[in-house]
Amino acid sequence: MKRTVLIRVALGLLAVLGAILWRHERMRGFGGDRPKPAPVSESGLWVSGDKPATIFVRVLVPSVGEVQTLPALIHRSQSRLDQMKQSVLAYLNAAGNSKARSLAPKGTVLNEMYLTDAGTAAVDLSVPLDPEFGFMEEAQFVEGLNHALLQNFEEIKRVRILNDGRESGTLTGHFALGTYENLTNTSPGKKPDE
Amino acid sequence: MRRSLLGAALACLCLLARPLAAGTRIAVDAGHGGGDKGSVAGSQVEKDWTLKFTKALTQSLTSAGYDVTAVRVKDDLIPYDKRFEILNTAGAAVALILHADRESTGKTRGPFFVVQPPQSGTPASDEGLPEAGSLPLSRYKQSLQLARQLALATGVSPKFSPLSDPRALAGDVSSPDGRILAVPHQSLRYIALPAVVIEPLFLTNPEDLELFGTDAAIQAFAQKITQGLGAYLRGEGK
Repeated sequence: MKRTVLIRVALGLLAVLGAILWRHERMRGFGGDRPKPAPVSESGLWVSGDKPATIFVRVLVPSVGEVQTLPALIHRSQSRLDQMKQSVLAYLNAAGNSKARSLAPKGTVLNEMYLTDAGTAAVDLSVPLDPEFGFMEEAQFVEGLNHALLQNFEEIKRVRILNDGRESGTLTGHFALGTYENLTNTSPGKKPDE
Repeated sequence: MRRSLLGAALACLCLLARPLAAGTRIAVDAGHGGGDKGSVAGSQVEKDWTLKFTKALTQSLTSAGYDVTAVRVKDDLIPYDKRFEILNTAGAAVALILHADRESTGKTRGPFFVVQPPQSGTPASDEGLPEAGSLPLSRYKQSLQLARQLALATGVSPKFSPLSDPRALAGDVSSPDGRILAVPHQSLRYIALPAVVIEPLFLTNPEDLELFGTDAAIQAFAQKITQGLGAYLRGEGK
């Protein structure tokens, strides 16, 4: 009698444990292990016939060892958000200038970008953890990204950077993200070409 | 009566002559460690340099009479929350945190110093965040915490030559010579006492590596920091 009760209790506990584990795995399937979105591709952000527009982005010019602001061409797509995404891509690609180098760590991609009604641009990046990236470089990278958006688009009031869809304390280990994202002392943004 | 007055006067003189350093605790921390190497440039690894400088600074401060709390004393990984807990509860007057930087051109030289700009609040919503462009360095001085940190950074830094290439991030977040930056650093995120990140060198700069190629040179750097700290604690240069 006693043995049967014990077996039943054990079976009951196993069933509860199994249910918990099944639920946990199911939740992981919906959340933690989400596949990464495909990086934003420039070709999908404009159509032929869209006029060019000039923006300005910060790049590193290795020959002089300086960060400089260079012009870059984007397309004046109908969607303002698509123009902003092009700006981020132009920044990540060093304005397409072969003599310049991007301030971003190698392999950084833009996953997605949103703009809230209050003017916060949420930029979701995938930033590889690069040990060959120092504090000043990381700070310049973040400041450059802020600059690429705040300086070129008047409707953007602040920039929030996400790494693989998540809020992150730091991108590569030194610069503190989160509460200090708006340090770039830029004048109010302008529309491209204005 | 006369003898007791003389004794009291002597006691007062002894108290006045007592070095300021005695009884003053300084917290020092070597950035990174263990599996967290920090920045790497060829064979140069940031965590090793930060430990070298921290050991020299600990020795220099101790020799000057300070009590020292060193957070990391060997090559091990201490999580940030543990570091912040130690630094904030050590009873220290200030915290000095050592890092070393790198950059791709190899031209930039140290040293430089980093203080934390004022927090603008957690951006959980758009409410309460400052507008872009509203925080130049001159306005940071309105923050008491930043003012204390700037005073500390200014105190420990003046005995060094300016950066060869300031590469200021933006004019308003750096001092005119580019040596002190008010830029958010992960090591300063949750520190409640006056604190400064000291970056003595760039691992990518050959001159910096040569300059600090001997223990004596590192010790000399630590002594300059100690002297500057003394001036700060005496209230000079405010």
